[in-house]
Amino acid sequence: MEILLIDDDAITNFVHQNIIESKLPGMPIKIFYNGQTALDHICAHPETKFLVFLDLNMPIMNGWEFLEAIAPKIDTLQVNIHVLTSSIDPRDHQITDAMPFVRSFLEKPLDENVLDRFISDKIDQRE
Amino acid sequence: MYYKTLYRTPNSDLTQAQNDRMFPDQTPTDFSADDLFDFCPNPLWIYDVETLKFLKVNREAIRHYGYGEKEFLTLTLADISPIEDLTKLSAAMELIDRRDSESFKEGFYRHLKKDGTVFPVQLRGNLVTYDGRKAELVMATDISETIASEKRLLFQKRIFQAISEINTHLIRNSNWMEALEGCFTIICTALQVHRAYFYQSDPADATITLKAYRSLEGMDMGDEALQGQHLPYPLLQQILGPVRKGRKYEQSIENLEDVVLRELFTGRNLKSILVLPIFVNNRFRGVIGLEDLVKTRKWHSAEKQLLDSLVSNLSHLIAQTDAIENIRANEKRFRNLVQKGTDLIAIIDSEGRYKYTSPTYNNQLAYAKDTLLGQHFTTIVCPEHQGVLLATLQRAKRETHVETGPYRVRHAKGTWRWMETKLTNHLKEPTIEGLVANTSDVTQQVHLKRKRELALDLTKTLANAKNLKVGLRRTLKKLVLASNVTLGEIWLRSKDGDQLTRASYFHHGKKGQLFLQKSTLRDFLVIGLGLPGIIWKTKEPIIWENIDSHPSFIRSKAARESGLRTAIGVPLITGDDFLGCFLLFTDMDKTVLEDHSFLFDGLGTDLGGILKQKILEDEYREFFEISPDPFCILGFDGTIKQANKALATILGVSMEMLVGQHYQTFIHEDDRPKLAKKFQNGVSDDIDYGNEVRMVTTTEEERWFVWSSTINRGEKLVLAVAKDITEQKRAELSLQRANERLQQAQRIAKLGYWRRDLSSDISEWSRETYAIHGYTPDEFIPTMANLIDTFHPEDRFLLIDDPKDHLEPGKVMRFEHRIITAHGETRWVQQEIQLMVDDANNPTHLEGTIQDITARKEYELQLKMSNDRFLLAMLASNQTIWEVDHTNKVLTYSHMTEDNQEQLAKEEFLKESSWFKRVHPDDKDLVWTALVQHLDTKNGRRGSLDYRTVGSDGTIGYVTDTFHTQRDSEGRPIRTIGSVMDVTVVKNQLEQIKLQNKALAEIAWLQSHAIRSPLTRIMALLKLYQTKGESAISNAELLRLISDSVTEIDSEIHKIIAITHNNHDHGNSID
Repeated sequence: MEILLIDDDAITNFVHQNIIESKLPGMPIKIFYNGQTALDHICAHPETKFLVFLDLNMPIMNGWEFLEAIAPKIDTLQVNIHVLTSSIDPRDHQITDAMPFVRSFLEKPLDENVLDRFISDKIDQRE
Repeated sequence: MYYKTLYRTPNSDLTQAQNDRMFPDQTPTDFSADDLFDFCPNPLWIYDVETLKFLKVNREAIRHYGYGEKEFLTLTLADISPIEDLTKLSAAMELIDRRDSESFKEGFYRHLKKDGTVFPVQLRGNLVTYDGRKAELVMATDISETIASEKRLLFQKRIFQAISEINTHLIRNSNWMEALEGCFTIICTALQVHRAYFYQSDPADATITLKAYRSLEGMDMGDEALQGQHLPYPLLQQILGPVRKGRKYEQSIENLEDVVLRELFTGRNLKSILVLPIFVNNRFRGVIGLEDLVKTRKWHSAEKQLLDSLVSNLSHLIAQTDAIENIRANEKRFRNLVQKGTDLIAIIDSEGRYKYTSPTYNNQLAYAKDTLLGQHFTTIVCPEHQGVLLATLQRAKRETHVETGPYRVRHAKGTWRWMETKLTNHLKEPTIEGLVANTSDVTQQVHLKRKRELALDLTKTLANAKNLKVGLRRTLKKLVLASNVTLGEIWLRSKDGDQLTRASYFHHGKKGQLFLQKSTLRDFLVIGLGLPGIIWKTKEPIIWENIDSHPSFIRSKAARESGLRTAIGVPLITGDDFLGCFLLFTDMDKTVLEDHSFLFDGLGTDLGGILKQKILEDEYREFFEISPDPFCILGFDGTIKQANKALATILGVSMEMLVGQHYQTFIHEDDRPKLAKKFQNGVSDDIDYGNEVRMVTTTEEERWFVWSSTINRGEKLVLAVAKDITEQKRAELSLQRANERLQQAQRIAKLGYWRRDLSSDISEWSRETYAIHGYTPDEFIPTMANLIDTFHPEDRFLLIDDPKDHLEPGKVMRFEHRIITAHGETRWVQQEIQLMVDDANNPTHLEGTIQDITARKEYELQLKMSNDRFLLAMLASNQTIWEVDHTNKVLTYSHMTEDNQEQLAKEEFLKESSWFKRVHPDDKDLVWTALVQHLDTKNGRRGSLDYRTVGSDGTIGYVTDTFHTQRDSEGRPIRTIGSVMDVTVVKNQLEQIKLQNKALAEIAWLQSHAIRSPLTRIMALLKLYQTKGESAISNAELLRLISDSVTEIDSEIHKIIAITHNNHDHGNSID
């Protein structure tokens, strides 16, 4: 399994990487600064299980565009997506609710306790 | 009186003096001459011969005559004589002078007493001189008694003489009636009665009749004789009462108290009547009556004796006459029976020879008296019957009584008579010693029988023939053979009755055939021409001899050539109608034909009836066949015996298929039971009219007929005639259906009908009219008064005027009003009424329809409300409705006028029309194209366009035009209805909102992403620092990063403010 952090904000990625590494030592973490590069990586490794934390507001391919692009291929991939955004706009939350493959809508900064639950429950469920 | 004045002496005073001188007074004991004079038991007087004055009278004279002495001596002889005897007195006085003195004279006179009594007197007188005067002494002897006695003797003598005369009369006269009349003459004279009569009572029939009458000779016999003969009926009745019981009736007018009887007596001038009954052998046989017209009388016993004698002798005589009459009658009867009767009576000896023949043998058979005696009785019998009669004779000798059947006997003149004989055996009776044969002539009966048989045979033959022609020929054949003639012909009158034509002929033998060949027959004969024509004229049977030379016989040449000599013609008659005649021809004598002539007597009439019927039948048969209506004759079993062509044609079958079939074969299945029932029962009705029955033709078509039938019981036939009423029936059914549909339609349409005669107060309502008013015909009578009540009070003015004033005949007037129904409900109705007129254009009645339009009215009301609402809504919502009629390419749209009224505009559906001119020029093409595209899309129903408009003042408006198109089955548009809503205001507002929303979205985005991004970075850094401290991040680095993030936040907030301001600059009504 691989944890992907997709966010154009480097400081946020740094802080989240730090939280995840302290919580899950040894877990491979990859950081992408836009959706396109992340999408390319996922599609290139369909056999790998990914836990994705996706920011919405990004250059090149924002979070919405990423979700739109991955939706058709979602069944061929082994991916759990969690939107992790600074937006507290309920409309953004509503939109992601309509996408079944989006496991949750999280507000930054990432809470390490929430992370525990994802690792134990959700990824196991997928398997 | 003359004599009295002549002879009476005025100085009567002298008489007493003279008296004294002549008869001086003497004592009673000394008889003087005067005493002698005085005491003489007879009246004595002395009178003066010259003056006739009494000079002296004796006491007896005074007593007898009733005068006093003095009075007496003042009288003369004339005073004591009845006036009628004065002549005799004066004659006697003249003679006195010639008498010698003292000579005696005797004479008979009548004298008058003082009381007026006249009495006969014998006077004896001697002339004397008295006082010196010549006088006569007269002694008078009253001889009344003597005379009366003599009279009685005379009367009795007369009675006895009368009795003797009557008896002589009755005995001598053989005719008692004549004798009686003689007796009456005697009685009338003897008894001095004025009428004598005899009424005879007939014991057989209890009638009473005047038989003899006599009145007293010398009586005035004028009217009285006629009146007197017959007693008035009431008087006769009065008399008969007692006399029938054997009593005499004796009555005088004086004793009558009964007013009626008295009037009868007076009327008959009758004073006394005596009626005596006559009884013979205790039976009342009559009365003898005697009447006195002059005096009421008491019948003297001698008179009664005379009458009794008459009655007694008369009774005896009548009894005797009766007995003789009886004997005579018996004798006469016998003579009539034996000698003058028609029966032939004969006595035949045991060998069969005539011993006696009655005179009838001469009368009936013309055999002269005694010519048959000694001959065998069969000599006058027809040879064919002799054997039977001989056998009968043998039988008669053994038995007492034998009868023969009819046999023929020869008349002396050669003709034959039919006889029947009864033989009675009297062989052992010495006075007879033979068989008494009573023979009667039965010719008439035998002829009658044969005639009847022939007539029956002929009428049957004619009647049973299938048609007239065959019937005539067969009848004629039988007639010719029965009457043994050569040829027969039947001539009949033509239908117009003007001519006779030969209808049939039959010959038997060559002569007849030859006659037919030789004769040239005229086409027809008129009345009076030829033998048939003459029979027509006379209507009597005719026999013509020598027809070969008969001037009136037209075919005499043919008769000559064929040898026919005699013809007989008999008219065929029914009632007074001459139908024709039959002619029979023979080559024999008239007499031979005459032998058969009895056969033809009445035959013409017998045949006439049947012939007429047969002629009619033939005519009917023709009608039967040519009738266009179906006829048929059925047997009682239901088979068709006969049918006409019309029936066959209608049913589409041949005659062969009809006749012999059962009638039910052709009857519609549903009608069969009805008819079958009729057939069972109907045979009891003689005539059955008008049965509507369906029949089925060969092409399975149902046709309606109306059948009528009549029963001929004698022949067990049903004669049926029909009329094809199919078309009529169809019309009826169709009319009925139409009616039913009309009624149904009226029911469905709630359409009632009514009519009212203008003369009537009551209208006629249909069921639906009642229903509309909520009434039933039982509970409501539509009088005018009731009708007004049904109108709504506010509508009653409609009924006030005379409808004639407002209605034009034949023109329908329509109006609507409200009614109050039976249930108190108000309903709207529409009436259409019309005034109807008769042929003369006079208004007769009103009729109309009434329809409940409450629902429509309500709907209209609602529609109006709805329209109003709609209009208001349109006004409120700023909507405009438009409609395109694609068939006519017409566009209609409504628009509101300035005073908020809806106004409709119509124009052609074109892009250039005014409707499209209001569309903004930039949108016009778009709108038109979109509309055309919508209409061209086959399934396009709904559509909506948003476009801009330009107002007349150049203002721009926004509208939403929503429309709906109706299409036909192939998708072609029929109608499009659209609603244009002005959305300018809304549009403007929306534009503003959009702008604001855009700004808000930008702000929201900025807030949640742009501002919160650096904020969450700070929050993450702080969290990292809190959990890991400086091992994860240095303080300086932390502060620098926070500082950068804060600057970023500030920058984003400035952006938001800029957006807000920007929005304020663009919008004007964001608040």
